[in-house]
Amino acid sequence: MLAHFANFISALIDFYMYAVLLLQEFETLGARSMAHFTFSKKRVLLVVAQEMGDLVSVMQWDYTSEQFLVIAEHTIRAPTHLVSWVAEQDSEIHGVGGYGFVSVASSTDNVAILRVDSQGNITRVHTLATGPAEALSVFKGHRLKDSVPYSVSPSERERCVMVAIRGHDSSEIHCSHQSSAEMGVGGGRWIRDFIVNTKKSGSLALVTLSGTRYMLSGNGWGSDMEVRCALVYSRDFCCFHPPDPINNLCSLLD
Amino acid sequence: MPFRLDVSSIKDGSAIQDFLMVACAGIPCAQHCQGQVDPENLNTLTYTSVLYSMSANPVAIPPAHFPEISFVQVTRIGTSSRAVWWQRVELCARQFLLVANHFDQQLSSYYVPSAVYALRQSAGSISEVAAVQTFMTMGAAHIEVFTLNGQTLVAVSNYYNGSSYHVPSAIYSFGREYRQMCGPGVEPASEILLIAIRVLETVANTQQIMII
Repeated sequence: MLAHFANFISALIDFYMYAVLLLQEFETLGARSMAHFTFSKKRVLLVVAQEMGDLVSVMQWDYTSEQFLVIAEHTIRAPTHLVSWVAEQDSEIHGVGGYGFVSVASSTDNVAILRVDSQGNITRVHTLATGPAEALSVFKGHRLKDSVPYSVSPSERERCVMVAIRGHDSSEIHCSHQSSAEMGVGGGRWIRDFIVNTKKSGSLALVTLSGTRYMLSGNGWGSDMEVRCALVYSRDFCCFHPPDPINNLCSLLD
Repeated sequence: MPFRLDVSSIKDGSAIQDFLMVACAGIPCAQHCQGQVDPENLNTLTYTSVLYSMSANPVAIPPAHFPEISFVQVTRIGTSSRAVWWQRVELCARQFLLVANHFDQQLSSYYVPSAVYALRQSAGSISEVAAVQTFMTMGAAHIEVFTLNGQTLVAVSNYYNGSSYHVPSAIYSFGREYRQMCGPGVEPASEILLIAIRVLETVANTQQIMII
């Protein structure tokens, strides 16, 4: 009896304290993914990929109307997955409130790198020649040498985007190799550094454990009705581990 | 719709545990997430997502050999619908998982509830993943969590309603009451209430353990 009462109280507390309350709805056309930039506590941009609308839209909280409003839109063919990062140091260099970058995967086109400034202006700065992609992941780093493919940059300004290529047993890592001047303008020069065997990956994730960074690949993506899940019980799940130096690029030393 | 991997570090005291959340969309994870889905047997499938803890086993001679990673299943999370996206949220040192459910098991409807789960921890490990709340979504594909002015917001991209891709996506506030009690500038009365709630939760958890 006491247990039932305790459960009831617990559920009541959870429901009240952790309530998910609808704030607003907004029209989308096949919204597949979102990302956000936090420029400050009061200024956050929400980026929405609308696959069927061939559109990436940027929303911002409007303090007058107290709702999120679309402040910019950019046409991209069938955008699906987004990953974003803020180039924090740009604000110091350019004094314009900072930039954010968003990498956009498409179900029909190459991966695009967009620059979004704090006012919501969108500029396409790069295209990664990957073709349609299933998943993206972004990390700070750059290539140092063959035995240690990537390390966190001292300036933490270089970015690498890992792209799981649709329909291929491989993913690619593209990194920006930029100077300070290039960073704010276009995010640097993007170069494909590595190709990884990821067995038709449908999802990518990065994790750092004991100072070593690993990439996890959800292998086996086929189609809607023919999905094989990741081999989560074994190392096969991951694409790293020696001795193959090509497959070793997921061991990213911090 | 691809399944989703998400790695999340959950801090518990001085230790940080890494967890891998696997959303298995249309995959019978009870069969170790392998093999193919037979469309004719969809009705018999149980859709389960899995939460794993991750650990790295140190090796003697770094960096010639990298640590080996092992995965230990913490729990399975049965979802009434096909989960495609998991997102972790922390509120006042409490851990939650949000899941985007894309469609129901029979492929008959995209009007399905997505959900919030609370991770209950005891003795430094996760003891339970309890459903807290559901909210209706239409072919939900992604959940994005961010903070604006100290308020945790949850944005959900809705993809499809079964006949049209022209469906509204939504933004929710999450845990507003809780945030007001443990955020900066909290009044003493709120702190006392927060402590009382924590005591109640502890009692509730204790009673659940005793029942088991």
